[in-house]
Amino acid sequence: MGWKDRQILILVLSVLLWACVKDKPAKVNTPAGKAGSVYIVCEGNFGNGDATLYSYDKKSDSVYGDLYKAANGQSLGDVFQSMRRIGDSLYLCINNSDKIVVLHALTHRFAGQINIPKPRYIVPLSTDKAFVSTLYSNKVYTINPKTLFLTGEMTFPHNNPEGMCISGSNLYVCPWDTTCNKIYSTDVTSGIATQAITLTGYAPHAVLTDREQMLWVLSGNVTKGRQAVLSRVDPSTGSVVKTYTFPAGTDPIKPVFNATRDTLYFIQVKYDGTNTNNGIYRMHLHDAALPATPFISANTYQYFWALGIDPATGDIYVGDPKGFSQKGTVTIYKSDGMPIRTFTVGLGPGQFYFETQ
Amino acid sequence: MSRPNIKNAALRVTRLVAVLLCIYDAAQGQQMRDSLKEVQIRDKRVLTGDTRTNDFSAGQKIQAIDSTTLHQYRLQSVAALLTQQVPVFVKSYSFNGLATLSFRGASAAQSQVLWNGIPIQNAALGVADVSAIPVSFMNNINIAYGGSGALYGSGNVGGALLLESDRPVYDTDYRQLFVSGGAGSFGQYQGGVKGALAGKKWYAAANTFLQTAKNNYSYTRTNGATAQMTNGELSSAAVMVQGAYKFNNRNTVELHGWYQDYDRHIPPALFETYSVKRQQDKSMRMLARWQYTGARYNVYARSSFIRDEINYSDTAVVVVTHNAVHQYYQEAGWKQQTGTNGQLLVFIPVQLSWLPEGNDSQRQNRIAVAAAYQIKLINTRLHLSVQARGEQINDQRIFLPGGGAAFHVRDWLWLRANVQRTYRMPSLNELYYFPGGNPRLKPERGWTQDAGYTLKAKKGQITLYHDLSIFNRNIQDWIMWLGGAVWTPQNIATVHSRGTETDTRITFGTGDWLLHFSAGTTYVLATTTASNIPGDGSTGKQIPYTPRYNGRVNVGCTWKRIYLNYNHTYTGYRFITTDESAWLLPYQSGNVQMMYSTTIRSRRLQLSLQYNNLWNEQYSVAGFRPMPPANWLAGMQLQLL
Repeated sequence: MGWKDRQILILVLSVLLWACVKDKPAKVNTPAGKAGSVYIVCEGNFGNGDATLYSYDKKSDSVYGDLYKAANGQSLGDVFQSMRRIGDSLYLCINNSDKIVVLHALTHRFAGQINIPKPRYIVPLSTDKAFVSTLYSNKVYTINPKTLFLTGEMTFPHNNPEGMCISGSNLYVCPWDTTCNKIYSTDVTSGIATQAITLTGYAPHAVLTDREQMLWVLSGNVTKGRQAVLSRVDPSTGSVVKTYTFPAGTDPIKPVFNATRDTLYFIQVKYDGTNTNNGIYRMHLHDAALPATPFISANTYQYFWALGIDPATGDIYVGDPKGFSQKGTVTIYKSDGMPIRTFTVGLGPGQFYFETQ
Repeated sequence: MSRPNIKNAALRVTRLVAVLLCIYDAAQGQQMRDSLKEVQIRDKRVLTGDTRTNDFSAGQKIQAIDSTTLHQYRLQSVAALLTQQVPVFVKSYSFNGLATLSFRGASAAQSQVLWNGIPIQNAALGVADVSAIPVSFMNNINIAYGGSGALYGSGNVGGALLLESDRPVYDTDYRQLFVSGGAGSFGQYQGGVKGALAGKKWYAAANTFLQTAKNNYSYTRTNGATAQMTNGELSSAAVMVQGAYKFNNRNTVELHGWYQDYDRHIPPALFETYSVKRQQDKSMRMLARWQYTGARYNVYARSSFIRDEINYSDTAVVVVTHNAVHQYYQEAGWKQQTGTNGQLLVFIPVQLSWLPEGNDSQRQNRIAVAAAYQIKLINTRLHLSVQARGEQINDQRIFLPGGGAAFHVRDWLWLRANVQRTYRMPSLNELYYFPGGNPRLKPERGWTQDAGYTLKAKKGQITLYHDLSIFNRNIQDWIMWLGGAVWTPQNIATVHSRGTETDTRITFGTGDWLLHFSAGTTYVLATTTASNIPGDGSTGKQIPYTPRYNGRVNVGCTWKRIYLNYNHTYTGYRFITTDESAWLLPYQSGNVQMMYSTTIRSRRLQLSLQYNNLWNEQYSVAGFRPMPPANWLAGMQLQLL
């Protein structure tokens, strides 16, 4: 090999010394679990098993990530739908893992598990009785939060019991089924059906009570052709006293009341990248019509997925899932809509739970 | 360069490459006597039956899988072969699930799969499931690295997998009949029959492959407990028939039919307590080809119809879906010799795809006019090619230019470079799936450049082959699915991909022994450089499921009729979110392949044994889908005629 060949050889092989990026990802520092004042339910991406529980401590203005893994060394599961505190424990509905995970509220250590198919929401009656709604079946289960046993089940004429609330001595259940235009009530003690209230809209999925003890029911399934309708219902008579029909194609979800239960907030979500009918809306319980414009607008390629009103401060918590392709963010707004704080949370923030204890 | 200098160069290069390989922690490669098959021959390289690849892609890296490797993996899928032997990332959803390709940081939909020159990606999904392509159906498997949109059209962004079934033989003495069978761990059983008959003017062949498996392997749950995999059963049947007729020495016509039915139960992910999911994939592919060979020109036409059907059910969540998609592809071309060293190709591809159960507007019509010219200069040491394509897709138009060069610098050294404009049209699902389809989507588009060298030397019984590629690609309007209750694809990002690939092979023969060693590495940086999402955390971050590093090593020997190979693969971290906030750990896999060939009463018998995941690594390619532990697969093939 001549000198020229050697030069060429050295030149071509020197390319192998290309500078490379370090492969091992930087470790994210996860603080130890701590009882936060606001829990953020991060659903995770369906089918990826990356649900997480975050908390935000208002006093110290600190965010604590993946509390379950930090305390227990393993992942929570797939699709973290909702949570409630009952007594000294937290009950986490992990929808696509078919389980309710029970944690000690202070340590976040695993305390037990209740196996229920596709659990969605928990409504506690007492420290030894709670109701669990489920997807894809027509059952609401009753559990004993102390013993972690299933204690019974109630069946309904339609599938997908979703949103629930207790008003008086009745449990009101929304079957999120496109053939259903009723909500059903049962006696919380006996489990006996008491009422079927007919609505204007089909596919009811959320129910809550205002300060006048009226029920507000949100119905609709836009993708399956059921237009969204908001109904105000007098539970004492079973009659619908007011109906608000949303424009076709709009998709309102996750209604919440403020602490005084006189102002209703809800999300309108749009997945097509535009920002019309997309944002946080609010209305007084005696408003004659639905709000025409959002109280907090979403940007293009953005939509919101979690909404909560801090009962102590009235601050508005809004979760942006960023398309469920990366960590989401939470932005806190004052009640006048002024943003005051944004922080990063887990994948798919979907619900806020405010500690009152 | 004198002969002693060549010897010295080979020795020095061997030492230098060995040292450099020690720097790398991962490698890949090929092996066996014909492992240098894909080295570019100076005047002409005949790799495939597709003139676009053979004659008009100067400067593009084309890798052929050698026949020994094809034999090793005869009882497995193309996914298994590529995973262990090729620098492409195969995203495999468990032992029994979908497996898609990612070339050089491209998405699965940007990685094209062609069979006998026609695209076979599912037109609705935009991807091809390489776990449902039996190796035994293919006579040639080649990989074209880097985009070449002008030649291959939409979806050829990161590279292309080029599959070819047997070519016709016109010989009155030609008779072939093979039977094959295999059995392995976890209830795997396979069998096949392959036969061919030919006359002076005709050819007929058939190939069948049957497979069943329980896939009931043990795995470790997230809580550390050991469990046995459930709902992992697989059964499949595939048949390919071919016919050809030679009207005269200039006119030939071929017919190909390929039907397969895969019935796969989908096992639970680690976060699921059970699974009753089941998917049935049926594909029917029909192709007709005609070719006229003149003295200085060729004319050809090919026409194909493909129906892909996917039936999915999950009774646990009351989901039953049935999706079918049709695509029709036709291409006519004319190749003309110009002067002594030039060739011109003009061709017109037409592709129609539609959802038979959708409405009339849910279809995609593409028609293009493409041309390529290649010339050999400087005593055929320099090959130059230029390509161009103008394509109309429904109401959109795109122009795709490209060009490449390969230069034979020394007897032992080739240099190459290639620049192409590339694009990918959104798939039918991305446009029209309900709910979530986005008919306003724009094509992904950009430029890709790559360059590299190939070095080969021989000293006595030692051969050395070394290849290095550097690539760079910028894609605008990268499509990502964003969702919540409804998932919708959006043109979100600009993605910059760049990296290197190396491929080094050494063989040493003495007496009845042939020792081989090969190593390959892939380094890919594919990062988001701009995004439309407010406050996007993905900027500057690696795109999901693109390992920065992967590599493979093969070491083994051939002694008389016995072949032994140890294969070791390494796959680096894969991020599963766009902001690098979650990732899967790297994994390594050791695999052993053995083959023995003999003749019994003039009938050739070939026995094979594979032992996969020798070190019993517990790993997932995709999140929470455990791959099988150590497992074996034994097979035989007997030539009856």
